[in-house]
Amino acid sequence: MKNLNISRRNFIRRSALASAAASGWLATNTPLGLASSAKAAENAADYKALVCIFLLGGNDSFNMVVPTSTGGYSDYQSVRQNLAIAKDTLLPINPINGAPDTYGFNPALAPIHDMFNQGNMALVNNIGTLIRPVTKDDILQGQPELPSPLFSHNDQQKHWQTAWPQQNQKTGWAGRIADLKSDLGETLPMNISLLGTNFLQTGTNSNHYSITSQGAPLIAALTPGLFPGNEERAALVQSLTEQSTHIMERTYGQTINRASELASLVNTALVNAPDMSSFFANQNSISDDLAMVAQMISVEQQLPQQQQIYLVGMSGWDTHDNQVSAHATLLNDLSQAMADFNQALGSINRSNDVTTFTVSDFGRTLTSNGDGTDHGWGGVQMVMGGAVDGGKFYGNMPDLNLGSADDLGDGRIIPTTSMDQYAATLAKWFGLTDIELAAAFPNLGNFATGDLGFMG
Amino acid sequence: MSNNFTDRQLVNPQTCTSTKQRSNSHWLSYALSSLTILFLISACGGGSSEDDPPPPPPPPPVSVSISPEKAARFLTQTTFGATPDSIDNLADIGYQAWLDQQFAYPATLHLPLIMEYPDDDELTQNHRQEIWWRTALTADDQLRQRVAFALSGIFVVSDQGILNETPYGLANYYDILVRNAFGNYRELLEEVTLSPMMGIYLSMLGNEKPNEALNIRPDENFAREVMQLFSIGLVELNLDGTQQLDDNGAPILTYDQNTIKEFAHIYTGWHFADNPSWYDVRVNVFESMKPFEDFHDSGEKILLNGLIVPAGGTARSDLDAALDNLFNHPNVGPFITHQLIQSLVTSNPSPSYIQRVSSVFNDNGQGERGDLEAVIKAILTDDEAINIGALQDTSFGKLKEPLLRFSQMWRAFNASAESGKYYFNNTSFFTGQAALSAHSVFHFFLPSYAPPGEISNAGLVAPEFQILDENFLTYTLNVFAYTVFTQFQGGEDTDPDSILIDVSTELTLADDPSALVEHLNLLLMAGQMSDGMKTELIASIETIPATEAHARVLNTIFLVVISPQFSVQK
Repeated sequence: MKNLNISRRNFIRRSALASAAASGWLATNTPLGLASSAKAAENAADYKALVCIFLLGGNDSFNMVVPTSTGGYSDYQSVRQNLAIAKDTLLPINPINGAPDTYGFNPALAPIHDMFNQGNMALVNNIGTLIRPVTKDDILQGQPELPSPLFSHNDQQKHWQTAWPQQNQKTGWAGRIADLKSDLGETLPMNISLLGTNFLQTGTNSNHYSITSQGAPLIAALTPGLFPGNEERAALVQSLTEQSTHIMERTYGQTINRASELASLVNTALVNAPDMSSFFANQNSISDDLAMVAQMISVEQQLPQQQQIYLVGMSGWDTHDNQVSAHATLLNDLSQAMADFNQALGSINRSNDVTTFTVSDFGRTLTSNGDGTDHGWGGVQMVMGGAVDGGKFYGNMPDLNLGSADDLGDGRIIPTTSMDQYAATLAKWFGLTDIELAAAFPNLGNFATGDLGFMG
Repeated sequence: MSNNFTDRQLVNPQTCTSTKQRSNSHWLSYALSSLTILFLISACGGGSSEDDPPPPPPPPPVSVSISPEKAARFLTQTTFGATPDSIDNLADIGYQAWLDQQFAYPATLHLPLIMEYPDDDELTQNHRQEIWWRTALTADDQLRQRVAFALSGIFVVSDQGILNETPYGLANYYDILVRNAFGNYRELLEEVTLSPMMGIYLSMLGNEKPNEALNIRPDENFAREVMQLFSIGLVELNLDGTQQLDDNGAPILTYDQNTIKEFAHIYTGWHFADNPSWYDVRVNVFESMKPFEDFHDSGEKILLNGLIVPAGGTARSDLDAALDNLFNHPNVGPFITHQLIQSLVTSNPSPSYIQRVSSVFNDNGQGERGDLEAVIKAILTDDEAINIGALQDTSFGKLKEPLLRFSQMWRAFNASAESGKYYFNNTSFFTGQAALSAHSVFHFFLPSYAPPGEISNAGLVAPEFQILDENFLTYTLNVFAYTVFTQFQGGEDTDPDSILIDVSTELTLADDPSALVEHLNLLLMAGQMSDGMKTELIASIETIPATEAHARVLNTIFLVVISPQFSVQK
């Protein structure tokens, strides 16, 4: 569904920018000045960003939040064996909306402990890929439609991104959101990736733009003004692209065009951006990526899109081996980066406008393989931001006993909430109407509700 | 078991012998003997009596030589880049003789080369990459190295993660691919399976039989990925690589979770070759893992296609049964050969091409299944690969991955460094790619990737585009600019470790733009440059004064290597 209408707010922004440029921009009492301040106020109120953190490999998320009652912990320890987190190290959390047990955070999540208790983070429990709700009996009896193949990394990663497992889909739900909501006439897309090419941010009419934690590099030998001869070289490459007869040559050449144009735009915007890295305790890739996202958000008024969706990734979650130490490091790095990101956003008054959320291929087996876990299905995700109705659990906590109705086998937990519901809740906050939600999430109607409530 | 394995202090020269040297039959004697036979045939036509009609003239000797353009094109498919000498050689002796020459060259192994670094060097993955570049750019056994590179995208291990501090071990792993590139797939699969590098990477090393009391079951990592990625893939295939479909038109999965579990029980009881006992860990990153029967599950397992592995087997006998079970699955031919074709020739082979090659995998003509030399030959000499008519097909071919674009440029201009080393540090940071350095076992790009837009809409795939996002493209173009404009023989901004191109030949053509362009057309683009591109390049040369020979040459080389036309192999 192509958005043909230039929205009123875009028109005001563009005309105000044009007028401001013509008038000298600093006037405050002229009609132009009023238009400028109106633009600023309106834009500040309208701006929203979603930040997706993809935990690549499948996060063993049932070790993030652990039951602490005697019986609950005993069940947990019995199934997790040598992977169980020691009870006296758990950090108590008190979900405001109640929970089936008392719980504690894995101590590695210390950086976000306060954030949860203060209401800026929610946990969404037992989410996974689904086409429709299924029970264990359904699966054992008759092969209902499942997001197949389960437990395969690249397929499950793809399903989380496309929200359309029945089809060999080429678009993802963030790309479809951009098709619906972004200004398709602008060169900078709504979707910005720090994880390279991906399905999530690919739409039918919109695509994503890739940057890194260092920003958007300029093409040294083609960018006008950087070196002598650049203009001539750029023109020649452009001409070669235009005269290409081969389909792959054209796509390659068009990528050069995009890279040139968007790098200039982004670099101009970032030139006076505040340094966000000082908010981050660690210098690792997740912290560096989120620091750049914070920087981009800080200059959003100089970027053409009204709203943005960012994708960052973090690898290493496929803890078949050495899980006890590896997972602790991963959770600590992740939660520290998220907490620091929250601080950075606060410094530019964007806490309420930005919602950050995790996704992952799958949860993992409750049972151990000796020193790690194998591929599972349902898991826990985190949502963070000022607009989040936090300090709460959403969804269901599964039964941790092997062989329960939640256990497909070896502690692979059948999800009771679908990632469609999760993503649709975020998309609704982002501004999609019910009709748009149905278009972006084709399977959403198979589930009881499209709004899990964690965005208030 | 520690988290990180480092092999810097563990190198034992005695363990590092190269094996399987091929006999070194000289190509010249083969060629001469062929010519001799041809002369004998043509000479037999004379000496008839007057009563007999004159015998028909003998057929003209079949010339094996090919055009330089065809030679350069073939070299793009089979090596890390054409050079003037290699074009001349191949043009002269033709495809078959050249392939025989390549099959006969002894394998250049990476481990002995990395071992030449002094022990007190702080050896890192950058040193391993240096060996990789040195081999790619200078080794004689180009086809073998190119095939090993293709195999490294299928049988993936990586220095990203737990293997980060094992450059020796990874060099040795790469040599498994090099040694087996023209061998048999079954042997390749076994060496990969028992490699301690793979054992660590996919956690088969140290995998134990189940502990039922504690509900601890064997690790499934390797069991899953060896099927999904190294042998049969996820769905049942026809011989031509197309998917089999069930009655509802849906693909048929090759295995389910239960099968993975059964295989996981097979892959138990293996640990480092030097362990005196299971828990007494002595890291050995070179030798195949060793079995410990007490930690192997010897129960019955049911594998693919209902194969029952009876109870009571040893770790080794069970492993053999399992690898045979995988090897004999009909999927292996199409699954593996499709990816080799994509790496060497074209991203979108026709089903009939895949079928012809898969048939050779199934039987090389002498009853052997899995003969990779025969498979490689079939891939490269198939009409679909060789027929220059493919150039009319505007979707035939593949985007060259970044490493090949650099290697082709460097080989074309006889690149070398004063130190004899070929450092391209942090290759993957700048280009998105490096040997054995992927972020996951799924390699840098999937065989099924299609960039959105024209290519995807046409139902085609182009895997290499998966790492051609705006960021990596920009970095790659910037590294090209740096290397072409500053890293040449005679340049000022160089040091002993710099890889420098030698453009002395090209400089002699600088005052003749048309000749320079034609020269680069053959050397870099196999003669495929369009008239339009030639015109543009000549015009751009003429804007630079003839006295600035370096500027003319380097600017033109740069424009060619970043052009869409050079970037796509066809």
